[in-house]
Amino acid sequence: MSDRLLEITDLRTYFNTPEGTLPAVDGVSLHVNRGETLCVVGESGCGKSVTALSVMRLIPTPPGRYVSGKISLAGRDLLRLSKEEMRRTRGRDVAMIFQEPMTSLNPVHTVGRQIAEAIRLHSGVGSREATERAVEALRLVRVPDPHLRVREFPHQMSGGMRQRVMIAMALSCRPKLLIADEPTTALDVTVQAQILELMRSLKKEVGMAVMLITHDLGVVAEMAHRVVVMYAGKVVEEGQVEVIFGEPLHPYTRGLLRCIPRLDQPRGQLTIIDGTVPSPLRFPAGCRFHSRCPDAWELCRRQMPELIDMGGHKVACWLHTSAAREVV
Amino acid sequence: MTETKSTSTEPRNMVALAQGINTLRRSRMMTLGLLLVLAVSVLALIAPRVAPFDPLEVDPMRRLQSPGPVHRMGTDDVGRDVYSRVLWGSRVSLLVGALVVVFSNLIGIFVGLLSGYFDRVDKILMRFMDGLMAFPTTLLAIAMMAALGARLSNVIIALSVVYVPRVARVVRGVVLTVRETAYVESAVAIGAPTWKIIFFHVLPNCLDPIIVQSSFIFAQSVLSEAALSYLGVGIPPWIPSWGNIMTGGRMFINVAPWMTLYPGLAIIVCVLGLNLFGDGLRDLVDPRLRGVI
Repeated sequence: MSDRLLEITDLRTYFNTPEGTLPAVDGVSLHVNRGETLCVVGESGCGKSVTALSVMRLIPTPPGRYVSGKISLAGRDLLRLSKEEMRRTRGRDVAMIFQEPMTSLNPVHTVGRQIAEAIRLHSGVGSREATERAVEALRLVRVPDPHLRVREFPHQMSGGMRQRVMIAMALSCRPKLLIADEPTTALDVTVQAQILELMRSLKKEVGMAVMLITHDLGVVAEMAHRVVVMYAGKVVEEGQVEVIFGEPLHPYTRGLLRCIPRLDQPRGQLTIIDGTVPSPLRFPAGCRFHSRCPDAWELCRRQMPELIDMGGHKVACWLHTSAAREVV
Repeated sequence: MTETKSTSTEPRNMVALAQGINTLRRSRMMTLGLLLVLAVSVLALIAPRVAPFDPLEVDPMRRLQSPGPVHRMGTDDVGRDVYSRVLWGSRVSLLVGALVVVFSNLIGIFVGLLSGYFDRVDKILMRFMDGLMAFPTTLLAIAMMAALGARLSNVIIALSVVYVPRVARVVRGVVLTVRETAYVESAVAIGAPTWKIIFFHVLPNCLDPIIVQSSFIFAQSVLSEAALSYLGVGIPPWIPSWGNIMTGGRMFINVAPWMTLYPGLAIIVCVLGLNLFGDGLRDLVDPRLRGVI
């Protein structure tokens, strides 16, 4: 148990909207071990970003609300920290990089200044030393000519460079956990590969754990040790990356994998999963995937399946729960 | 987005200077405005040296003389040199304008930042600002002058209060957009305290509209000061301000129009210069007019 860095237990993050309560994250439990990369996958609107933002406590409240649950980072429950304690935890213990590298940097300050400010937040060094460390931070993320680049403004940099700066800033205080919310979605494919490669090698150098939010299964295959598949605010499957890709159990995971175009199969129309994620305001009764599920049967429409552990490989689906029951 | 070649081989100041000169060349009206403002400012600075007469020196023998070689803008009803008085008056006008800009910005920026960033105080502060804005500018200033008494410092206070809501509105508007940006969110995510977010991230992004607004407030307060003085509730009559000089000429406008004409022209030149400059600044700052973001 002690190798668990982050442990989320039964997290429920709801939003109050004029149309009613919106359970964006509805009873999610997952964990990240020290030094590992956990990928959280799912379609848009399945609650993966809200889960990540909940860990950072960046959900605006109101309209957001942490209804229940525990987010334990290295033994401390983040949901119980005071605002000031949480502020000191951000950046120092857990840092986050976002999807939009183009707008995540302040246009009026040089990148060096912004990195230096981030460094000073948690280390208390003087501004001159912080600037020197900013150069080092840029060198760490393989920005060429870091001593020149620190004096540039964000608009003078490309998207890939800016994402490197964001990573440099996030890593400047050596957090134990880095949360990356679709860090490569807005980038060109070649730059994506560079950034992923960078993150993988930095992870080894710095020795941190990474929680990578993505909807790109290619990224998952490249990066992940373990995978959590989310659907409609719930975890539907969880397991080692080889297991998830090799023998997926949940029909949703299988569907996602079938949607990847493959070179070794005849070309034709790409596979899709019919329908869309149901609105959180009107989740169907029973399993939330049953309306789109090819294998749904009677029980799926009536009752929500629990996440059951099948030897490290967890799945929430009646096909397997009942099969497991029959075996037992 | 392509990678931009680094320009850091040249000294940054030189680049900025070259860009500034280029801008001025493209916008002629702004240059004209800047020149007018500079001219008035220089004259105000060197007024004690270039004014041929003491602006307060009374000479009954030379009353109501029309403009000529000795008294370029003529003399007033007690024989004071209008040219010297207009020169000295520019000091009063610019002093009032500059200090009103400083004070209304200090308070307005503070109020705007608070009310834009903290929803809880927003409603209270903004309703108070709306209340101030509901009064016609001059009327509010007159009322405050009546309460405070006619002194130079009170003119500055009154006009500052009048212009605080405008600054606050502009700043609040910018804060509302800036606080939702991705870079503010990432600053929170890295653990930046609220005050640092406000002063390091939000405030610098408000500066463009604040600077533009300041040039207009400067022009407006020069006008308002003249109006207040002209109405007799502004600067005490013995201080030569443009408004006061015009009031003095009101009785003699038929026999000695120069007493009102020249200070009036001075006001026009000064305000026109500031407005042209402000328009140019606004066009520069507005990304839609600049064509690039």
